[in-house]
Amino acid sequence: MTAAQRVEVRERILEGTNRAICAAGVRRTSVEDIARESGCSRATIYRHFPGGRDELLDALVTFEHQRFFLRLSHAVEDATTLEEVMERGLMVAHRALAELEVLQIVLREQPELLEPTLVRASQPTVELVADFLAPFLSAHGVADADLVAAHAGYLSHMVLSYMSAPGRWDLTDPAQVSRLVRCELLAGLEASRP
Amino acid sequence: MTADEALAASTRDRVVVAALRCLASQGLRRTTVDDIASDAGVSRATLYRAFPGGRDTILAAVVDAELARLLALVAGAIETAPDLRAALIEGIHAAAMWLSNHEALERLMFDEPAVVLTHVEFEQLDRTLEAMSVAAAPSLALFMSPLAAERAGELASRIVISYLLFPADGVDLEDRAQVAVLVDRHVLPGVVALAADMG
Repeated sequence: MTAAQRVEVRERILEGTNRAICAAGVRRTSVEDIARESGCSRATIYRHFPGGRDELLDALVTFEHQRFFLRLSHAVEDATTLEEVMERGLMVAHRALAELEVLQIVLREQPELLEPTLVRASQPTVELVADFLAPFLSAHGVADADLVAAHAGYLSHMVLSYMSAPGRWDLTDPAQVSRLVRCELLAGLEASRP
Repeated sequence: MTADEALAASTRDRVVVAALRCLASQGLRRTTVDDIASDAGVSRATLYRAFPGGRDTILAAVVDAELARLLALVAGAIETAPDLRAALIEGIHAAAMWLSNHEALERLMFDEPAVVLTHVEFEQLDRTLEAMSVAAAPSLALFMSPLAAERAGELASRIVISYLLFPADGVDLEDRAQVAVLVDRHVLPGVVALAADMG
């Protein structure tokens, strides 16, 4: 089996895990259910995930986490301004998280399943989002490289905070999102522009 | 308060303090109701009379008590601030100092991070932010409308949680000078613009 085929089978199994959880919940999903949903034998599943159910659940969280940020970057990649990338990013991310059925089920039933991935992946994600935003900051007129890094880091921390917990802000309302981005998040940037 | 009620309240306080000590010394997983009772110097029966829900309700009471202490500390740090800039700097710095030097929290972050993280994610983060921003709002409302003050308190609370969880170069919230740079560069302009926009 080539590396590409192995990735394909792994993904098929993880998609099956996702569907099984959406159908029956986390606690009632067994390796048999996952085998049925993914159309793989139990032996195949254990070959790819020797740790069985626990490893599958952990791998699913990591898989969905990566897929979420991949989708998010696709959704905003054609934005032309910093305001646009921030506004669209916040709205898309908030809606996508709310609609991510498997996440809502895990949060309700067994939120501790999220922890290993969040512990492992959050710091790199903060850096990833900052790297993604940096070119928009340069295009916005911030010339100094240290200032670009400082603002990108700040915006990244804030975007990740707002997308998981909007607090008093209604991130489904474009007017509120615009006010949040324009005033609270970008006002400091305007002051540092030439 | 009757003598019985006073006794019950003091038992609850002793149990909460004992539970916090147990968490700091041995973490959450290894802390049993017996450990807490023995540290508090009360019998199991007395402990369960004070906390009929047992271990989980004791732990929830510890979180509430510690959050109340943090909120009182932050309110104290910002109430004497002469202006909005000082209020933001002192509030963020005081909260970060307290959280970074909290023994039980440090212990839990080190060997059971999941326990801490469940309080700073998704709906739980919303609840934590709500409590923190409500506590900061009255002091911040000296400098802006009450509605804008709640948002400003929420922003400052986010900053503390976010930078403590995900440290960044040049943004050490325990260092007042670095907090001042963060406030001048990002937070203060954002809060001022928001207050102006919200009226």
